Amino acid sequence: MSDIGLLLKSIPEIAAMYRAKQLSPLELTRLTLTRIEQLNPSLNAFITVTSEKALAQATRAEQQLASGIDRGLLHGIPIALKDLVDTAGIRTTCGSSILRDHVPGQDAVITKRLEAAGAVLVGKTNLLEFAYGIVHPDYGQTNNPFDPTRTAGGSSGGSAAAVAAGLCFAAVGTDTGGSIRIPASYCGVAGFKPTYGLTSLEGVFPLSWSLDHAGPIARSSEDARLMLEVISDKKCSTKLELKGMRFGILQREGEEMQPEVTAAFDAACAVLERAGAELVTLKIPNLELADAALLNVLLPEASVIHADWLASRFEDYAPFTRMQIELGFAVPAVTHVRAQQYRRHLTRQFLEVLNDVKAILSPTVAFVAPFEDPVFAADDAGATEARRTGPYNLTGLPALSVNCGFGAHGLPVGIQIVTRPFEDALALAIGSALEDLMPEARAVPKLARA
Amino acid sequence: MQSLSAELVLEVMRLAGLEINLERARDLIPALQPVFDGDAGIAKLKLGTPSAVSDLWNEASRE
Repeated sequence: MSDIGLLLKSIPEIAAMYRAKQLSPLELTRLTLTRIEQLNPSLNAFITVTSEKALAQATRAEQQLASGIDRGLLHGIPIALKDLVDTAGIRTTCGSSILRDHVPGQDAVITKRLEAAGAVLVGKTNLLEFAYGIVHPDYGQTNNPFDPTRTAGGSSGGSAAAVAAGLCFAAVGTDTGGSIRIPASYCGVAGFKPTYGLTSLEGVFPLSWSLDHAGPIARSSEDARLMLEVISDKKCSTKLELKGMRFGILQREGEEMQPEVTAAFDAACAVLERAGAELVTLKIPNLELADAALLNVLLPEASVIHADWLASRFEDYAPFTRMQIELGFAVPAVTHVRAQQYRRHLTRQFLEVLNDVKAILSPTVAFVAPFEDPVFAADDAGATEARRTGPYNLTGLPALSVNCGFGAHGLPVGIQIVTRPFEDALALAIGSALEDLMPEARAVPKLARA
Repeated sequence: MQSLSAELVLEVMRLAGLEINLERARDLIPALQPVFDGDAGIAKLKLGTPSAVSDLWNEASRE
């Protein structure tokens, strides 16, 4: 089998090969590190490659599996972490100049759980500065494996690009307005924002406490589910019967929608319908205010986090990040509290709708990967980009993006699946079912085939 | 809605603990105006008196 054939296999397939002694963790980790060396110059997906640690972890995994110590399906699997997740002894930059040389003393809870499961950390992935609005010029944009002249998306673009191109089998991202699901959509992979609070954020650098989520990015919903079980330390599985299941379609329309995205989304909905699902169109009252509410929560929370550095090191921020942090100081308390109140109002609207349908479907993003990340601000392309993802940061509902087809120039299109709180397993099971029904949506990026 | 002035932005930011100059305050106005416009939209909703700090959903739904 070719190297790339191995590097694009699913986690259960690799786990089975390990246990059948057809492949060893050390062999696969070496292949992965070689692949990173080959493709990272084009993709810029990794800020730090942790070769030494990866080889040591792979050696340990190999010895343990050989001696009958089996830590589960992630044992010996190469994975990556967004570079705002703390790793003891390994620098964690947050994509910033300010933390360029920051080496945490402790692992994040997520890091510890992955290590305990025997996963092999191959590196720390690129992101927008502090997961906020823009790429810091010291690190540069992460490029899209389907077209390296375009962005992989933000802010977890490094994680999504690395997974899509076979530079790791899964990765952790964070999501405050869509930062897992948007890059997952642009890179044609599965990106899952769990229910708020399901995954620990201890040791993950915050952007906005009440909106932040950490979650998996993988090449399939099933691989994402396996990652989620480890990082949340909770079982996550459910049986699914699509026949008779009722889905609600939301935010299918809008002037920002590219026709190719609508076409791919409609095709995925038609596939579900043919599988016996029932589709209805939904309307959530006042949803158009979600863009504003997201910013009015996020801006002041982020500004409080960055207040000290803004006073002492403002020149170290990328200009747009600095501007966003400054803006938060001008948001009145009443504006922030009103947005928080709106969140509860919006959540009630969603929960009411979810009494009638099992899941909500929408396009993840209205467009395919642009050339550059739109800046995240009110009334511009940034708000448009997060229009279909941000509501689930406000409401905390679990939301999955999976690939559902391709638009012009062969660029991926994501469909978003949203379920009730703590029905994370259901969202992932629907994602898996859709992936099985649409094998044509599992294309390998041209760059990864080279 | 009354449009923002650089002086007002400067003063509000100063009260929140951030010192910037008038020119910088002026630069921020185009990005700030939509924040207030959005808030004005939310303020028109009849949100009543539910808490703004409660859990997002009923804890009973947790497994």
